[in-house]
Amino acid sequence: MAEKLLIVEDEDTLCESLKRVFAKEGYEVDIAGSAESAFGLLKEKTYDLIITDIILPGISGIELLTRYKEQNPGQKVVIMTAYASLETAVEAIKAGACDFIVKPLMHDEMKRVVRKALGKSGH
Amino acid sequence: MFAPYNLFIIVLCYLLLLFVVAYYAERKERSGKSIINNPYIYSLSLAVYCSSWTFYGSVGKAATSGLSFLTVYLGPTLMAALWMVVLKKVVSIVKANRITTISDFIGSRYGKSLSLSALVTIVAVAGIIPYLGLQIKAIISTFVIISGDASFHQTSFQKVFWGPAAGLFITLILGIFAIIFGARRLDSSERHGGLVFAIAFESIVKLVAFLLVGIFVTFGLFKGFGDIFSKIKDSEYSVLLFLGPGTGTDYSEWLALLFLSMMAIMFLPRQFQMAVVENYDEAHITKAAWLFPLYLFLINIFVLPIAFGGLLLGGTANGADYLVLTLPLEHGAKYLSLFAFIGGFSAATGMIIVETLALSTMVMNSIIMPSLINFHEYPDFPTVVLNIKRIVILGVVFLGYLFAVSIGEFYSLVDIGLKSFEAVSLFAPAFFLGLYWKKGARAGAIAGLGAGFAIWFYTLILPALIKAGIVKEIGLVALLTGSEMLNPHRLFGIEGLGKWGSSLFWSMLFNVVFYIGVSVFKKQSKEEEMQSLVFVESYEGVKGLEHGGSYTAGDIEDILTQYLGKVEAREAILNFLRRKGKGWAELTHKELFELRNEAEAVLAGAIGISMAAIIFENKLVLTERERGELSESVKHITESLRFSRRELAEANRELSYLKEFSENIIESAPIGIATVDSLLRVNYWNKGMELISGIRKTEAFNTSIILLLPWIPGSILLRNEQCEATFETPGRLTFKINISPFKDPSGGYVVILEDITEKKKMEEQLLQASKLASIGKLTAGISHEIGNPLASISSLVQELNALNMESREDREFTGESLKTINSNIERIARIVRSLGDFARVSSTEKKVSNISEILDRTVNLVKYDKRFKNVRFTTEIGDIPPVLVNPDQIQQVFLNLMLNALDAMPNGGTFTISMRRNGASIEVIFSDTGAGIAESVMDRIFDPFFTTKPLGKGTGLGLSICYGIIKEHNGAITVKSNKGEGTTFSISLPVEHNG
Amino acid sequence: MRNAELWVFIFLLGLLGLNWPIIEIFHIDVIMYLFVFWLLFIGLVAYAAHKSGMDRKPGNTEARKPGSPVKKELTSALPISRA
Repeated sequence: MAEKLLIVEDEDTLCESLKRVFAKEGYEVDIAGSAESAFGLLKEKTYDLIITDIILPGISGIELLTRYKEQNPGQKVVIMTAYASLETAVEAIKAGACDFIVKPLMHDEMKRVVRKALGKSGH
Repeated sequence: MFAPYNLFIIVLCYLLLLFVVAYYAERKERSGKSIINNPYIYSLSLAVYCSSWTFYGSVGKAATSGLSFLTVYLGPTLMAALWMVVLKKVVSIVKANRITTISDFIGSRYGKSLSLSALVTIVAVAGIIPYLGLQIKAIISTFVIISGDASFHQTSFQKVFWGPAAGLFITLILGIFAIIFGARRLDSSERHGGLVFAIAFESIVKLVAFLLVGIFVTFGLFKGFGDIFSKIKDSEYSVLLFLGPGTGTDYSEWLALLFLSMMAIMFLPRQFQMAVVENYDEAHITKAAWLFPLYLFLINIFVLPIAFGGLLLGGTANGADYLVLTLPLEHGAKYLSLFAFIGGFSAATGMIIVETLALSTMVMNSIIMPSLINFHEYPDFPTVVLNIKRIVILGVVFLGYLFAVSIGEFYSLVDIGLKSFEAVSLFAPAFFLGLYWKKGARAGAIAGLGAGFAIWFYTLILPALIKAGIVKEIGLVALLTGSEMLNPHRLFGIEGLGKWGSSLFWSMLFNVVFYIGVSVFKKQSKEEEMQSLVFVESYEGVKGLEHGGSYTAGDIEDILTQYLGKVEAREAILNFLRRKGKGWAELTHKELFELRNEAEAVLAGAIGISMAAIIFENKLVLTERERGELSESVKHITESLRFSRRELAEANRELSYLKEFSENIIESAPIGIATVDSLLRVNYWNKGMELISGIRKTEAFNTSIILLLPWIPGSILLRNEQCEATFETPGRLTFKINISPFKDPSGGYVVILEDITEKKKMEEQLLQASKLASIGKLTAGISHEIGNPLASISSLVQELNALNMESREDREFTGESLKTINSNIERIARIVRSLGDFARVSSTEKKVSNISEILDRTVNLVKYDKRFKNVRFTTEIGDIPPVLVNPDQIQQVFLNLMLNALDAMPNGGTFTISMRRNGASIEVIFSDTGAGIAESVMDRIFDPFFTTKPLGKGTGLGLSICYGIIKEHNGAITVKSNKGEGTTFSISLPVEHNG
Repeated sequence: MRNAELWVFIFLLGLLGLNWPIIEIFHIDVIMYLFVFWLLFIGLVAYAAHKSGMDRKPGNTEARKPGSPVKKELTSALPISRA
């Protein structure tokens, strides 16, 4: 069965590109342009993996992660960001992310991270 | 031995000679070649003091009482030393006030008092008439002696008849002479130059005559001084050689006589006339002070020899009075004795004429004129007055004659003379104290003089009158004279004061006590006050005081005419006009006043000062109070001046110290200070200037500063207000120049030059650092902004990479993707560019820019900040013209403010920027709804290194740099804020070009 | 005014010399003493009069001195070289 991905990213072009890429891999991809719209989607469906940017219009990706994880502690999340700092990384892990990647993304690496995250049991 | 007729002729000739001499002298005087105006004539004229008393009486006195006669001449000698002090003062007062007699002098001193001067006149007349009489007596006696045989006892009828008759005749002649000399015209303040010269002449005559007789006796009849004196020593008369108790003169009498003669030389009317009134030049007094005593010395050398010689040659003391005559006569020197007679005659007539004149003037001025003043409108008044004067003269002389023939024979010459001396010494207190004691009052003078006179009369005259049988010693008189206390000879029972001492002592005592006593208790009248000032201070009087009442020159002339006659009056006025060089009607008010003063003085000469004053009613002198006030002011002014001088010197010292100090400061200040005048020429150039400009002080001086520092923008120097400017030299140095105009009306500027190259460099570095700091703040947002498109591009490229490019879909996809990639690249490029623009080192140049464009550029940079997303951002841009600004710097300011606003609104808010034109400036307002600024930190906002952000988060430089930038643009930046409500920054930039 | 005091002094000198007790000292030959003293006194007065006549020379004006220095001080003290 295809694994479901949710990509939360405000940069449209990137979003669509990623959807295409992951779709080619056989995943089922939904995209959201903001944390708010992501929550909307999450009410309807659950996803195997959420991939979210940190900097979003409205609440940040970290905030999204935290909130969602409250209800769904087992949810797997991967953070992506253009702003790479140690602090952000620590914050992300603390919030319960499985991993994070830095923009600009390399597709191969992206795929690998996703596979890894999905391979693990959620924690 | 000489026939009376011959004698008469001789006498007349001699008198004629005197007259000729006098006339000659006056002629010379009028032609300007005065022979009278010299100290020798003056001194000789003073020798009128030596009357027949000197010529005959001294010898007589020496023969009877030894040395006491000498006091009469020692006194004046001593007094002469004081002349330098007293006489000069008296002369100057007399000259200044046109005083002509001693009664006038004394009366004038005490408030121009007529009553006092009348009293003085009475005393003088009463005192002098006997003395006058004695001169006439001497003339008669000597006439008899020389015309008859050796016997001088007037026993035979002839002698009884001839003597007095001759005497009367001579008296008359003398009276006429007196008239000729002194009563030709009515203005007696004129000099009697001729009289003075004649007196000097006869002084020589009498001296020579006496000396000749002396030589005759001493060396002719004896073998010199030693011979006579040793012979006398051995005789019964040896006591005459000594002084003291037991001799004819004890010491108290000696002193008393000394005193009397000192008074006499001052107060005898003839002495006052000659020494004071007739004085030409005060400098003569200096010579006379010793010449006159020398004369006295000379004329006294042979007195003792003659007296002793006479005694030794078998005379008795009786008739010793005329030894001068009898000795030569009886020892075969007939012509010598004739010459001696002439000498004695000179002595007597000199005294008579001058004394008579003086007394008559006194009588006229003090007694007659006041009585007649009411008749001044009588026609031909002057002539009447003149005639009255002539009658007075004759009267005086005649009175003297009467005295001579009645009482004169009971007393010796000397005794009567001394009575006169004492009479005039009564003037001493009023005179001397009046000269030196301002409080001396008229009432005091009258009281003192009156008391003294009474005692004088009682002790000296009454006994004489009784002795002569004129007053009978009966009734009241007898009572008084017989009493213990009031005996004239032993007043108040005090003996031992000597014959003269007693009378002198008491009269003086009462005189002085009454004078001082009454003066102390009596208040002076205004007139008296003034006069006391005039006399004591030799006050010139303050002329020029305005006075009410209007006279014309004609009025003044009319008044003068009434008293002096038309000719005199007219002459006086014309004199004045000539001196002023003005015409009759051209006199100013002030000059008219002067004329009135002059007229009063002229009139005073004729009728006495008191009368003239009454007529003109003038007040020339300030009262005591006024004078006191004046002298207080003067003293005060002098004090203030002295004090001011001290203060001034003090201030001066401080000033020069400060000057030095400030000069040091200016000189050593680390900036260039120069001053220029209004023509821009350098007049001060300090060390700092030398260092900065490399131009030395010496080269810089007086050169136009524009030449010295050509890189100064010329426009600066033309301003008239303080202005500052910054400019760069060709040598890439930056200077700040401050030019301030001097407040001084003479213009000029202070130029201060500061090398701010270093400072500017630092500023630029600071600005740069701040910029970088801002950039730092933007990094997060920007890197995100660049990162995203970059990520998009990357992703697309990777996708494209994985394509085969075979299907049409692929090709379409490629085309689409490339377009997307392109636009993203542009996005990146834009940001990179604006960042690059910003990061570039900004230039310092200003150029005309559009502020709103700058704002846009700034917004472009800021909007990528994530915080921006939560902020409602609005702009209101009005219509604003381009402004001359430094765009980078302004951008920096905007950026800073915007970042701060974002910092203040982490959770979002509203941020408004508005721009609008406000008159001569543009207003840019940044308004946020952030955290706001607390009141307590409000005024430190713009301080450098001040920040409210936690450590490490803010440098605190941002706003201070903004402030600096805005200031440099001649704008202003202000802030309004309330904690919790938001902050508004307002910037205003002038539209007109700045700098 | 020293002048006046001088004359008063001379006068008093004469007064003293011509009276008891000084005169008593010379009682042996009073006459000689008197005449000599008299002549000397006249000489003294003559000398003093001559001297006092000499003192009246012009140019002895002290009043000038205080004036000028103060003025000079002021102008030189005044400030910054207005050359």
